[in-house]
Amino acid sequence: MQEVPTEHGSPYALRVTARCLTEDLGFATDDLARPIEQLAETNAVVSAFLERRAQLPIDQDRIRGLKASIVAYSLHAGAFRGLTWHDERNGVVWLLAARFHRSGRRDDSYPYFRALHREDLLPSREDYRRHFDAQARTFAKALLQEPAELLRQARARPGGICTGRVADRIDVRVVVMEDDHPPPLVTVAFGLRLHPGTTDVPGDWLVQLAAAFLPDTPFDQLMLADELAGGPVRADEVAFCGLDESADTDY
Amino acid sequence: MPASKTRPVRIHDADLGPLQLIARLEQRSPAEVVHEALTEYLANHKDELAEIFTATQAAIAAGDLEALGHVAARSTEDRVDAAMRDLDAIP
Repeated sequence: MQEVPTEHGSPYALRVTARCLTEDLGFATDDLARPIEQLAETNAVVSAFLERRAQLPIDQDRIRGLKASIVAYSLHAGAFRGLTWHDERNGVVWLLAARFHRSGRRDDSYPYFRALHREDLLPSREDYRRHFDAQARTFAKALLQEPAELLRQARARPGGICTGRVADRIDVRVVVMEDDHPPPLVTVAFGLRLHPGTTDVPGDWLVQLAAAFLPDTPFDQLMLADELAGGPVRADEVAFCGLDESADTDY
Repeated sequence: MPASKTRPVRIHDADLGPLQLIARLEQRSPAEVVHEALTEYLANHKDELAEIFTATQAAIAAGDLEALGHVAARSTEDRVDAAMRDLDAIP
């Protein structure tokens, strides 16, 4: 299931748990691999989830008394109600459950939400695995293009710091320093926080980023840096530097 | 070790005692103990880091999205474990 593109104004992902999608909404297991936009075309609850939570991850109608003390909100979709939770740490809004709303009836949505056991209410290992695998794919796609573009900008103005956010998730500062003896030196600093959310950038990704910004630097010539363009590397960054061996071919 | 610039770094409360004990046993400063630990870690993981680095360079040069995704997904299980620990901490 794909994330809502950040250019649509949602810096977080929107996801439906597998249990909610298959048990509450009646989708097939195969549908878990479909983009959420496709699922929204055939389901009013998913459509409302996509439309409203893309604009705001929380709401006003909080649902209390759940079997896990999360801050969850009601999502109105015609005669249906959904239950959503903004998992701020991982930067994702989950649609946890959905049910037909029959006020005062025992099978109403709200008693149903409150009766769900923790393991049925909260996202599962598999839900998180799908989420993180999707992030890894998005990150891999970004590696193919974005570092090269930022590097091109940095080469165009030597000594100036170019900033960006790779895959809309990882802050980058890069500078190319030239002197009389080519090749130039590339220094690149990566923020350690993975946006959105409050988790750290996986260590493997930092090494991959270094490889993407220093595509012709042998590993044994890769160095950790503590300065960038004469200023210190920030406490929430890690920086690498290496010679820009490919500079001549890319100018 | 020659004098070098230092910076404050946050560590777990529980690690402060062992760090100070090791520093006294080794007659070094806490900064030197941390530096040596980092150096040892990087040396022990050099092959692993080199594999990620060179595999990524090769995949980018070849435009091999699948290979890049494969490397990027290496951390998925660790991240899932961390997320599940967070869920377990919810009362």
